[in-house]
Amino acid sequence: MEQKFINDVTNQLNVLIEQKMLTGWSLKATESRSLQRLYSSPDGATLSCHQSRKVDGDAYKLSVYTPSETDGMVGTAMIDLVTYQPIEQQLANAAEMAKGSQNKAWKLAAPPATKPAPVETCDPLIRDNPETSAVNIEKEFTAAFASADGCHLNSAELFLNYYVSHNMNSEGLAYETELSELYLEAAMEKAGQENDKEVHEHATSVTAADLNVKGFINDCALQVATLGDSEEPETADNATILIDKNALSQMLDAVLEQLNCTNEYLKLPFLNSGDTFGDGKGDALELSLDPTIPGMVLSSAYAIDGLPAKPGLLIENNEVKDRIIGNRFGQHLELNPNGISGNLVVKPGTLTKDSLAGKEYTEVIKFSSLLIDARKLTWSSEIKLGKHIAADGTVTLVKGGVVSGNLKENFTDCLLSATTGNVNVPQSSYAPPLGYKGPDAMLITRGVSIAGK
Amino acid sequence: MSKKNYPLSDELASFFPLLTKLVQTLESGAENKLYAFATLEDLDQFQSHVSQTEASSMTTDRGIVLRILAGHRNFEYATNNFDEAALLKEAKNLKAEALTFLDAQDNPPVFAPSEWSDDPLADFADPIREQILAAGNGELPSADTPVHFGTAYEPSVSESLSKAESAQRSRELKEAIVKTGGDQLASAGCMLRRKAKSRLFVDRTRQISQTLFSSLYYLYAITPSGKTVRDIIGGMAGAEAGDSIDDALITSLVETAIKVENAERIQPGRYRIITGPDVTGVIAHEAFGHTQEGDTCRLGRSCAPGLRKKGILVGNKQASIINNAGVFEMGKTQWGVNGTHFFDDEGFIARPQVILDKGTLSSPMNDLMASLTGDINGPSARQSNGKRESWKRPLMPRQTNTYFTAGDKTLDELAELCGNGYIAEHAHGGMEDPKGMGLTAGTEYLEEVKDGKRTGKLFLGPQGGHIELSDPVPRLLESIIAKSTIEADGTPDQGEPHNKWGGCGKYHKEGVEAGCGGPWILWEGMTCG
Repeated sequence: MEQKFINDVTNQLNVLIEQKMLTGWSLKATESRSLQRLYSSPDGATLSCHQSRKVDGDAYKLSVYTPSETDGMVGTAMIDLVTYQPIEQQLANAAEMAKGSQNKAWKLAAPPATKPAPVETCDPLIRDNPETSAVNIEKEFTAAFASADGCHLNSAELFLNYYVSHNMNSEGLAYETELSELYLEAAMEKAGQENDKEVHEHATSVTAADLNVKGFINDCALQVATLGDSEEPETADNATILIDKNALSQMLDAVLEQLNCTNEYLKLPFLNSGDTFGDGKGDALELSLDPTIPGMVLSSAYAIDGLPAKPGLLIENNEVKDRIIGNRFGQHLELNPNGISGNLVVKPGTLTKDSLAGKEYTEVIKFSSLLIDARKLTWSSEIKLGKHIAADGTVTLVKGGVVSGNLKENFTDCLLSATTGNVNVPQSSYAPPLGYKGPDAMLITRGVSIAGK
Repeated sequence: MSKKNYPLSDELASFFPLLTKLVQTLESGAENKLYAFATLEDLDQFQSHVSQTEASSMTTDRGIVLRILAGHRNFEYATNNFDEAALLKEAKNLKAEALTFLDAQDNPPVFAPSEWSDDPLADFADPIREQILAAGNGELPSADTPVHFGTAYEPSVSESLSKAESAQRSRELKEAIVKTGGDQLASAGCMLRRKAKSRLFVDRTRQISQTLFSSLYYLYAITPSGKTVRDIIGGMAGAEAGDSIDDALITSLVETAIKVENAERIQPGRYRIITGPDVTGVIAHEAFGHTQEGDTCRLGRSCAPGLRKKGILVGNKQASIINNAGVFEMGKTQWGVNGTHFFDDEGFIARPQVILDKGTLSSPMNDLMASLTGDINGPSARQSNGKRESWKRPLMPRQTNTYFTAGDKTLDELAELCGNGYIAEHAHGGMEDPKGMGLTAGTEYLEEVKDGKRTGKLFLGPQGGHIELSDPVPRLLESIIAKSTIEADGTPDQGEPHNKWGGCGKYHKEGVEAGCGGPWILWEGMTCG
């Protein structure tokens, strides 16, 4: 990251403020480093790198705010600043562009009276010596795979990313955030036979220890062991399904959008304090956000809008207790911004393996593509791999068909597992980051249809 | 009106000497062992999104990728630091790393890049061939002749290059939707994006560049219960890509939103379906698109090489799919979509490939590595499919524009053949399992066809959401009853079938631009839920 460039930019921005050309600005300068390795496995067991990449990059995201001819309004624009064009010209372009986007004015976050406590979100080894870390992970992978009987490795990928960001604005707010990310992917199938099924899974984490390479390979191998002849699922208008923590976290992440006051301002469906979400005789939903858990992707001392990040209870006993009230839209709605942000935390329920005995349900091991509509709170996907468990315990492998659901119904009469797990999904071009700590399974008994045989 | 090819700026062109020097540093003295290229990617994008709030943004990004192919391993260094001394140092480090790797190999293969004279000029689309010959003053260019390719746009449409006019258009379109919908809508919006994406590529046999200029208009209407209906209109063109947006389109968008708000739900089950070009394209992309990607094939992760080896048909005579980056005209539309390029991210010129011919599989869509290593059927031809999300991400074989070939029916004739069923017109994602041959394609809603006529009645999924259409790929491709002509209205075919603006996230990550399309297709049955 070029500190001189940042200094030059902020100096010029402050001059524009003094000249009343701008009413405010905020800048995020990020330095990133990435080590990327893609592997084949000619022998079906060991890693053979076929693409090895090292990436270094700097990025400067600037928002500018300009005076408006209309009282209570402000011009806004966001640009990527680049070091190879004159700063003055870039700032002038941004200010000009802002005139074309008029919004209700709001005050940017100011420095807090007391600095929030820092949160650990970086593995020092990933930051300081990613090559060594990569070699260690490769060794762990190879050793773990050697113990995975009956598996043939097709491919793998490993990404080690590190980011350090300096955040600052015209109010004097200034803080640094750091994040490391690991991504490990493996594709494998049954050894010694021609297959029409493959297990393709990935693990993500903030620290190398949390990647749990051995556990990941073991989980994949267990899935490989279940592969065999499969059937399409039976068509059912009221199906009972068992989903894992990954699907559950994505569903709750969609619900979270409706717990954000932004939706109210944007005139999108939203949940307000006192509303109910889910109900019935099952496990009640208790949902919080927590930005203070070390080593999770959404942990941070500051919320995204620069407010000190705070934990908060959003849903208790299926009743909405609070909402995320961010700095901008909170002010627009004349609500007090609360800084609630962070990882989803869900209270465990009562579901155990024993309590599933005697129940008929379909366990969705893997959705093909779980698409959740955060506005309608509906979802649908093909089943990539699942198991139908009859009431007498007979297990049939299922694949194909379409399962769809309605989240408001799904959280009625549902059971959440007593055991818990974490989900740490880094940001991608596809989706924002997702951090989750809570039940590792959910039995849904209402609001699910299956189209199949 | 006369179109103009988007030029390469002098500032970008000034990088050619640096890229050339970097390639020389990467290869010098080791040309008989290594193959190297250097590429510079530049993104200049303006976006205006107007809904309850207004947002204008400029995305500017530029990065260099240095690549060495040593044996069957790619070594890359990528950065957006353009300091020459720092880049040359990294180039030397990369070369040392590659040579160390090679020293441990027994007889590693060596790749030699093709010359201009090796290229099948006659197979290239007109805009590609013409710009190659123009650079060489009517002859083939030499290795050090810079060749620039630019997509055509209409320079007289001032909105194309004006941020202020684009922002104003975005606002006007949003207001038009709001006015038409009144209190029947909760919200509405327009996102307008203008993008110039350039790439410079240098290796020992060529210096080429391209600028892909595109426009996207994303209009949407949201009902009080959150149901969203959208129109995505875009193309590899300037603001003329939005010419089709008129009062009738806005009215149709709003009327559809109101219908969707009150739509009934289908019962989960199997139905006879007609897919529009948007959904047809998703099926093409997923069906034997992903399954025919070279890395998936060579890594043993696709069923396609095995089926091809055994000569097994995977569809009926109507099942023909093409992958083609060189789409510059689609029916009456005088431009391509965002899967179009002149050359891929490894500098290989675009050319069409029939990936499924009446149910028979071809060789895969290859990048350079996949073409060299091959699958169980051995190495196969290199294609223009080496793509990456950006300079920050790895390169893989990716689809460009993937589409079914056209048939001979009109849409009315397809509806008549359908009898009772549904039309799936607007896509909502899709996914394929290349090993297991499962396929799912989403649609936002279904329109009823009854007694051979469209009724205009809309249906949502069994739980009130979008609808997934799913089937095993061979069963699906066996079930094509008939296909429409390109325009589906009796107009004689011209250009390629319509491709829609799209994107692809391979295995849930590595997003790239990918067009997909084809004609309207009547399918015997699909599982809908």
